[in-house]
Amino acid sequence: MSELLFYAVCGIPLLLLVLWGVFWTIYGVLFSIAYPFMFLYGALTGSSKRKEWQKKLIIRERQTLSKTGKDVLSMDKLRRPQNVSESGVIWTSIVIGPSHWQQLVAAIYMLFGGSVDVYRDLIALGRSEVFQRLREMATDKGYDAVIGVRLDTSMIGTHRGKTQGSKGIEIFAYGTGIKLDNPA
Amino acid sequence: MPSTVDGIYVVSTETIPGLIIKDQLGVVSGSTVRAKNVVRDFTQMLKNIVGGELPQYTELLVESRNEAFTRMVADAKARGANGVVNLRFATSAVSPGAAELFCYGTAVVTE
Repeated sequence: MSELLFYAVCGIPLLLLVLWGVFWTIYGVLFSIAYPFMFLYGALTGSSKRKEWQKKLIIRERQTLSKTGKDVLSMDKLRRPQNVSESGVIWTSIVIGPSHWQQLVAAIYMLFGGSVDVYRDLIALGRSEVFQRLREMATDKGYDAVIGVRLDTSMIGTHRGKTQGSKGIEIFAYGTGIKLDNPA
Repeated sequence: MPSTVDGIYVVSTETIPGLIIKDQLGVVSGSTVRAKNVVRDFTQMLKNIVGGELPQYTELLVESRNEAFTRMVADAKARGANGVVNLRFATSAVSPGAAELFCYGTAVVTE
């Protein structure tokens, strides 16, 4: 009886420890096999994906523009408040993660200083995307214009050390959507 | 008339269209610190190697902002305001894997 208790007390934690070790070993092996392929995939398809995204974005921008006539977003205050029939705050955001290839390229750029073009392209595209989402949101909700638009960019991520975890750049836009009685 | 959220007019501009501001009751704010679970963090980490949007984090931040916004509205309500003007948002990464979303504005009473 006491022998059984001894094994239960010492054995079960030991077993769990071994299982934990086995789990992480398998994970480590699988990850180190898959990582180079994912890295290469990201490096090879990165720029073509970005171009595709850009093309789609331009098409979407044209669609909303043809629907509304002019750009709905503005940073203005309201000129004629008596026209407004409805208003409400809307917000939208996007989190983009630069691929590890892009992070590597950026790190090399940073050695020499100057403009870090990979990040600039990515963030510029993210900003256009978030503006477009705000426009689409406004038109979906039936707002005629969005006033007082603001942007906010921040770094979020789950860094633990240099390579572990993800790195995300959040771009966030918000504004007040308004419906006009007699849009002029 | 502007539409309300929970009985409160919320705008990101200095004035509420169509209404006259009678009194202001100070700055109201709402904040939240949220994190996704380990599994999501892992899938997003894999997505990050390849690059592109991280949809889980986008979703997380929008959810968290909704929460912060609701808290701010509750704060404004508790002060007896019926409007919030000059709404602003702020984000900070307090620790790896968690983000603080903060939302503030001026509580006002309208006529």
